Amino acid sequence: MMTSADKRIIYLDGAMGTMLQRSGLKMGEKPEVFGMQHPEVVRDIHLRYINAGSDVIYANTFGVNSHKYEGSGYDVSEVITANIKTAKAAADSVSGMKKIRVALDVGPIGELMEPLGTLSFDDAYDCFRQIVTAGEKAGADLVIFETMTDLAEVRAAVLAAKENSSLPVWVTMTFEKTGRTFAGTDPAAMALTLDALGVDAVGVNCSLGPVDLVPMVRSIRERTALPVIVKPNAGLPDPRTGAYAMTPQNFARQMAVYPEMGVYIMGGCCGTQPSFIQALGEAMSAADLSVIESGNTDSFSGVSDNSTESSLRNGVCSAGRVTDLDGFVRVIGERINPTGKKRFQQALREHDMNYIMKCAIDQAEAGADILDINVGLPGADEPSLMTEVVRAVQSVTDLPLQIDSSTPAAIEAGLRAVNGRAIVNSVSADEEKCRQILPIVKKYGACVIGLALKKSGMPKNAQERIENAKMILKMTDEYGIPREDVIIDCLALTVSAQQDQAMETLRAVEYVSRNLKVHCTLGVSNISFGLPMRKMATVSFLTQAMYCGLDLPIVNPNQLEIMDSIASYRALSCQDPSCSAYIARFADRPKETPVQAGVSQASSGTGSSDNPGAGSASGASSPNAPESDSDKRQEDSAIQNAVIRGLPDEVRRQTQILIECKSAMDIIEQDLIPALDKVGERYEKQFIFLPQLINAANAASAGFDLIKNRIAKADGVSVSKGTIILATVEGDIHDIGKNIVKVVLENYGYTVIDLGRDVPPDKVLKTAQEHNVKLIGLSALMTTTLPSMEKTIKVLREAGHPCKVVVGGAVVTKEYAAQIGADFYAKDARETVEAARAVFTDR
Amino acid sequence: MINPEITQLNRDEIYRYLGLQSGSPLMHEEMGNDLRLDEQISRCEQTVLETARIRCVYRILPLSAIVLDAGYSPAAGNVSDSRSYKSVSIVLHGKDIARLLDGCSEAVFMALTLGAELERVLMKQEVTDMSDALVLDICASAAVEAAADDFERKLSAELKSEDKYLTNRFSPGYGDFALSHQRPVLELLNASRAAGITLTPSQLMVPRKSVTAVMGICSDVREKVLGGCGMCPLKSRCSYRSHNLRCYE
Repeated sequence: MMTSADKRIIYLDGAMGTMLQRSGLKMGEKPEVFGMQHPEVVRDIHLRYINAGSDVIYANTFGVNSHKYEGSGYDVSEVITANIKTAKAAADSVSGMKKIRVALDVGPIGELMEPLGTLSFDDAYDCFRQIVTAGEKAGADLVIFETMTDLAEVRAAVLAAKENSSLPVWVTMTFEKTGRTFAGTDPAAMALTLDALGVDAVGVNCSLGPVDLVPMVRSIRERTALPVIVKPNAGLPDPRTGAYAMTPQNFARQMAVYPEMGVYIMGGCCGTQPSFIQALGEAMSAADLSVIESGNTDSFSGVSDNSTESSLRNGVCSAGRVTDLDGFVRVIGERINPTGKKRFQQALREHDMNYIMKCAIDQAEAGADILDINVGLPGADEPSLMTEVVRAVQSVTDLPLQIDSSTPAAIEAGLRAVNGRAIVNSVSADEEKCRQILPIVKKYGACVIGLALKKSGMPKNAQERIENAKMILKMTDEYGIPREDVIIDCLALTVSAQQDQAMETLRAVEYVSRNLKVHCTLGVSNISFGLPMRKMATVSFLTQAMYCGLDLPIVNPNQLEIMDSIASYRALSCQDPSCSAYIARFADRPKETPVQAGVSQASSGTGSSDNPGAGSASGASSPNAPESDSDKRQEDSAIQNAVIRGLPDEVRRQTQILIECKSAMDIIEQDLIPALDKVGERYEKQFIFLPQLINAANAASAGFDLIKNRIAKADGVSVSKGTIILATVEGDIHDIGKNIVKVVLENYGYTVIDLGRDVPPDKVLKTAQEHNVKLIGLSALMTTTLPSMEKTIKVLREAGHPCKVVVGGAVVTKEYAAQIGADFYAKDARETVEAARAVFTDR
Repeated sequence: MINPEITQLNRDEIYRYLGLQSGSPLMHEEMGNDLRLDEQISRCEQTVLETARIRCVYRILPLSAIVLDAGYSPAAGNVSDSRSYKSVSIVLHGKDIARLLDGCSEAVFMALTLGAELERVLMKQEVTDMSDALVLDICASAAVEAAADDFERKLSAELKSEDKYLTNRFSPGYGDFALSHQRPVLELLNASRAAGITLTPSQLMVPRKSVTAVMGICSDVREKVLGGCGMCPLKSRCSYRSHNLRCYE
């Protein structure tokens, strides 16, 4: 007869590495190869853990992957198979007493994923697929991904396991005392994301002792009903001996808090030995385990304990941030969307991710809680654009994302790229649509917006909206998507065209939120289309809708009045405890009102002696003032002065004035570029320094942006002086130099295709051919990556591409540039401009 | 355990990094005249101090656990691991590191990073404002140095009570101490698990604002045996040198 502890607690094993080192593993030697060569040693370790009480043993496969084993002469599958066999032999040798399970143990690949590192999602996926396939074939009972610090890597691992095997999947991540992993993953976000992906158990391992992991485990338990795993270290290692200080009894005593928290899968990590597992068993049989008795969870098949589900906190997340879906108003930012925005469409077509990233940052800073991502552009490859944009946005904000598309392939591409848990926007009340999209939503465990609309036509009243919502809920129920993950969009229509619909929408929102008890969203801005003073109608409708139960409004967070009304609503509806957010938002408001005055004051106040007259000219002129020739000259110097001093607002203002009387090309050629040249001269003469040069370039860019916008609107000719590719070569991740060059080139009127960092030679060639590019700039900062620069040039030349190449970077010299066949060497951004001028002169 | 901290950055060092491109002897004066630049530096310094989360790992090994292979030439390729040696923790190749550890009883291996948080801020800043991004990057570089200095200072104080002294600090990539030591040093320290420092296939550390270093421990105070431009991979094109300046002065 088993004791209650035996029945409920699943004991894992302790450290493998520590044990192997004691058995003769040398520093630098691969433990898994050692295990293949000395199976009897590893088998003995497994047996000692089994005898100490382990129910699950981790095979000696932690560090085997194709990246770590590259050039080792060993085959990944072969090493995994051998070590699984050893573990199985140990497990089987005690069969009859109880079933010992063998876990395929998988650690991090050892390189950081993009965007911080260079490892791509696809690479990581392939790496894990190989491991899992080999492990399952060799007879592992489950796969554990452990000691993970990057949620992106975990997602690649879990998807690889679920798509290529039928093994149960367990995941434990390693947290610091700060409550996050080194890569910034938050335990709540981990739990939400992995529960959504359908793993069978989640938890923590390594880094800290048992007590220190309590807050992270608590946070995980709040978000998921999945079984939770705890496998801590025996404290911290001593810097002289590398030894861990904690005793088995101390360890076990500290572990005793976990059953009370509903945790019943436990073992040890670094520094623990069989004696720790034994002590753990003794401590647990003495502890009161009644709490976990009530659970009914099977960690080997991922059956959750449904009885506690209602108390779980729902939310969507990125790796580092959770936005709760708790009925409080959360703002979904709508700006990443090309519909009706020429400049945005252009950015998508040109893969100008910088523009889109800025758009994301602006919304994040304005207070958005979730960002909607729509990349629907006629003729574009939507799935690949979706992946590109999702990754770009994630690299600069930690907001959860909403994938906005009606194309199943684009939705799946987006969900795959999202490092966290997302919302899908949207399905309509058409069975066919639901059957296409809901399986994808289910697979990734996303939330989904149901549009209360049928292909056959717009709903005419609240009742039709409600019927459509009910139909969608029937479908989501059928696919096993929980109600709390469904968000209904009752459709805000344009009040100037269908005036009676606004109230119908509100009635439907009220019914859906109160009676169907699901979240509500609305594309709020639609309401005021075609009206003057749109924001008045929008804000008024928004406030009424929130009162009716709209909790996830899709709005423009950069519109102050909208965010003000949401802040007010939150305060009035007790969603903002003590009105503290409201007070913080508005405390300084009156002082900020006279924005216009502030700018002109600043520009006239900083007039300098080397640009006489500039200050007064900018202060006195206005767009409506009649202009004599002499006035115009003064305007010219005003804009130049603003560029030189690095004042973007002033440059924008001056450009606005000039654009009324000059062509775009003339402003660029006669004003902006001469100003930049003057700045360049001062930089050459060491009167100013690099940050000031960039400040000037940034200021000029305010003018360029205005001109570009104007041209995009008018569909006019391009003002580009030529297209240049910039790339930091393969293997190199230091791209600040390249980015400085980019800013300066762009502000001289060149179009830059920025391929980023760690760029393979083939990608440079392919882009050069595709866009017929005449000049390519390559940067390398490290001596170790210089060969990649040489290789890139070789690839371009061998393909017979007629481009010129300019190279630069801290370790590049003029001699080296010549030696590797570059056409130009540029020691800084200024010299790159000279190279560009030389190439594009004949234009 | 030693926990390095930084409370402020060396402004002169930041000015020097900023003037790197120009190397103007006048730069201090010029900088001083530009209040906006000074404000920008202060702002970026603040961001670095607020965002940097220093993780540091170190181990002290007896010299008997280290094989010094002075016959190594960096051109010969990768550093082999210690498989062929018995009871050895790490093999270090090169004349310079052998000279550093000559006569020492122990050696300290250290890795520290400012963390992924700051890395993310740097990345975001490059999208929003390149000028701030540059100054921020420079401040972060100064912060890595400052943290390593603080580690050295604290360890030195600890050792002093045992009448032991530190040699100067030396890092892979300098002199003939090849960059390929990065991997065995980080593995010795378990740095990816303990501090979140990983290596790319091209031997670059991620997070980028990280450093590894080796120091000897000996029973007498000694002259700094290594250092100076001779060790530096950038000596052939250094703009300090071209203006008769030294980065370490």
